[in-house]
Amino acid sequence: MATGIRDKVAIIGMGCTKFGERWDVGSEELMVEAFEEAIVDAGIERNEIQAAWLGTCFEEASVGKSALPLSLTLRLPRIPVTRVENFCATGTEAFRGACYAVASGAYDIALALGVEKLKDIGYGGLPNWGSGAGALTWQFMPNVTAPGAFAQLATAYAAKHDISINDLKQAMAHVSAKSHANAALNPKAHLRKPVSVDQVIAAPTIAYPLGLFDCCGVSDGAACAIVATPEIAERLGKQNLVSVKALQLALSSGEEMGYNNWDGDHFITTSTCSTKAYEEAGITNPREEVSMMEVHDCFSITELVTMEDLHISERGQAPQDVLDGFYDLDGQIPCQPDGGLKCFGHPIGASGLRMLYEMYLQFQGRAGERQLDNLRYGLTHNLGGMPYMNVSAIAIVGRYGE
Amino acid sequence: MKRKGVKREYVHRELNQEVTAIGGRYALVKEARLPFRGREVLYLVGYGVFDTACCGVGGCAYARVTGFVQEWKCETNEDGLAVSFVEPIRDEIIQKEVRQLIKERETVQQIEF
Repeated sequence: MATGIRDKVAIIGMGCTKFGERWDVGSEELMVEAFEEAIVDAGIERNEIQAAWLGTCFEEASVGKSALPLSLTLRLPRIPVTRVENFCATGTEAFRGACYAVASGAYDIALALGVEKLKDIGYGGLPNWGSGAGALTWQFMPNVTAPGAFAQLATAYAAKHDISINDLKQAMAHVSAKSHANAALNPKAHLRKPVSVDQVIAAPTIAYPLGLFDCCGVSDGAACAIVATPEIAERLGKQNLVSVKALQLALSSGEEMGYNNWDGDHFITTSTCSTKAYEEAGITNPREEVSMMEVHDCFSITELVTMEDLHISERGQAPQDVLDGFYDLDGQIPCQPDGGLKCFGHPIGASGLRMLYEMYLQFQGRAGERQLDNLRYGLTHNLGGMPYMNVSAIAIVGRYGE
Repeated sequence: MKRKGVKREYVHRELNQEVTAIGGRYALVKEARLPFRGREVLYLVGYGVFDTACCGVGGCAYARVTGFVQEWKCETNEDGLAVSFVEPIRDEIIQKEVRQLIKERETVQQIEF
């Protein structure tokens, strides 16, 4: 009988670069920057790391193929290193590999590092998939753009819950304004500029009803975690030990695209994934027990709908919770305390680990002006792909033994 | 969800100032008052550039219709900016007429309410 991963793995060190337009460095320097912070934080030597996972999504545009770019760059001493990719869940996927390796007893100390360098590719947006997109491309990317697909999520949500588009836009604008306010407090964020709700509303439309501030950009950046068994962490003298309570992943089966029983208004995967994650973590009432979240706000409607798929807001109630300030930094469950994808930035392979970095800082009491109190569980969530076909990843962390 | 009333605050911000998002930027360049059946419709004209979005590159000139003017620059907010009150236009037939009038006046690719 599977027992899950609760309290079997502790985070002993983390690092994260400043995200943004990092013209000054390449992928390798970003990896080193995140790693150096993490290993100093962990208080161990490089040769104590027994295995490593590298997460990067567009490896052709940044580090190159295989796991060698990590092994070579960090001069890892001939240990097993694996490269993983799972769309925008790539960083969490690297973390999952390292955590499972430690939890299984195969290794005592493992490293997960995510990196992406997207600002040097010569044009805005993500690289074209090209011939590497796979044989099913015609099925899951049917002449669609990301803002177009997520705009349909917004209109479907409004129709399902009988909310006017203008009212939904007000709630989405609050989502964005809140993240901008949080990022202004974060020295490592890509964009540190507060905006008001009316400035968000006044922006041009990208794909109706999504405006400029409803869409995230791309960034350069890297983030890194070093994990170990709790026993080793305690032996290293670690205080305020942060442990992993749950790690779950759910991928679309094709049901959303192929049949008529999905209304297009939410993420089936996230709903399933969060249910399993709460079960693994022993959480029975997420609205009361989760203290903070970093969720995948590739579009503001994604964040808003995700509140319901995480079973924190009731179906159809997320806009009201958002407008009531429930997810603000001083609200009941602060969401995106570090600024989220839209303001901290989105170097795809690093994003999942960047989210965990914020949770780790918060539990360690090192989040500066963003510091929250009375923390119990922190949740991170990634969504890779489109509403109708995606990868959903959730991690839950908290204080060891609590 | 609570429905807001028909009266909505509009803050007059300085024109020609770029507002930056992570995916691009925009600036409002004009506030215009359009006579319409004995009332006035307030709309804004701006341009946007999306050059660092995850979804590609683009740009446009656009108009954003805030609504029928109810009270013009009747207050000042905490930042010292003038505040008007408008009534958002929800009626799709009126929206269509206003859209046509703006099309005749402005060179814009989007007209949103």
